[in-house]
Amino acid sequence: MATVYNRKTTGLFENGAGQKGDNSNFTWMSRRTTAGDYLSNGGSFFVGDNVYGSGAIGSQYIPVDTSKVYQLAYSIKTITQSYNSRNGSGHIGYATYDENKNFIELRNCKGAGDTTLTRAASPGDTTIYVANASGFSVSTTSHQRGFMLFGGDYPYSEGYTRYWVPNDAYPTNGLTDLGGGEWSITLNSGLPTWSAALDANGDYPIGTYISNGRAGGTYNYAMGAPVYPQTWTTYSAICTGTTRGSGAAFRHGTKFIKFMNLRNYNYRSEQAGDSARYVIDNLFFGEIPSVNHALPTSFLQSNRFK
Amino acid sequence: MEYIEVDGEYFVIDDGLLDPNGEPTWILITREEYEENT
Repeated sequence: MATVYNRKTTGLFENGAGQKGDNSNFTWMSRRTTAGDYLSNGGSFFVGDNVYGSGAIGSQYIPVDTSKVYQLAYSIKTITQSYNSRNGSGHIGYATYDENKNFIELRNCKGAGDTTLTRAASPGDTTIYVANASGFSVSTTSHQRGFMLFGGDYPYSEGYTRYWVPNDAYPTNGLTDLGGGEWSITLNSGLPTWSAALDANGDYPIGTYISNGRAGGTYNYAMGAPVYPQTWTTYSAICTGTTRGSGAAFRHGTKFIKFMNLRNYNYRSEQAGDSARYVIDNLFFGEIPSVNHALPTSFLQSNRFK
Repeated sequence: MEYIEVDGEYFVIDDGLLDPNGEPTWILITREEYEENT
């Protein structure tokens, strides 16, 4: 069975298994070469400083075709426990970016309160009319009352947009069922001008896609927030398709991803002494033939990463 | 640090940990952790 995926190195992470003999692309970690503390290429990435819940994002933008199936896998081992006898821990997964390398958050993705304009709207309007606003949040927290509009060439209309009012777009009493399949939404500020989404009349036309912007999980916590054992453990997820979410599936509009780890986040409040130390190795992100063809742990923990 | 439940999921909004847009990071937590802190 071939073990080379996509190119000459194993998977799409550059230096994901320390092939370069250094910590490039993962500079917040050092290199650990103690026998048994690495899986391949003579060294692993070592979280060897005191860190109490800080984030770490890889520097490499890895291109993604969301119509394909990928496997994401990180192998991790706690080296020393914290002063409080805690193993290393924290969220692992990835961060998503669009084709211009803008970070994608949930308030850029359709999937909450999706509806369409029933009347043309113009920049500056403070009331818009939609087919159904029953799915819009009336939460008192402003980050649940965002607003998105889809259209134009870019941002495009495949469930992702940069045409957004992220917070407090409408008041909690701003949604009214007018009957007959129409609702009004009263906006707190005039509708912005997003030129590429306007028609020849300078309007957002009937049928323009509208969604409720609601903040939620910042990153894709694809492999959860485990506590890392003191033996090598491989965490793996299958990533394919797009959605509005913070799990393994890609977000709408994803064209690139980056490595993500929230270091020692599970015990972030325990800061009276040294934090846990752990190593990461054999970072893998690569296309696989189908969801039924995930690479086995025996390979992911092997010294066959090139 | 704010603990919040949204649509059946539980988060801590960590203003000491900024996302790539410079906003506080929303971090998925368990219901147990949410209940311990609220």
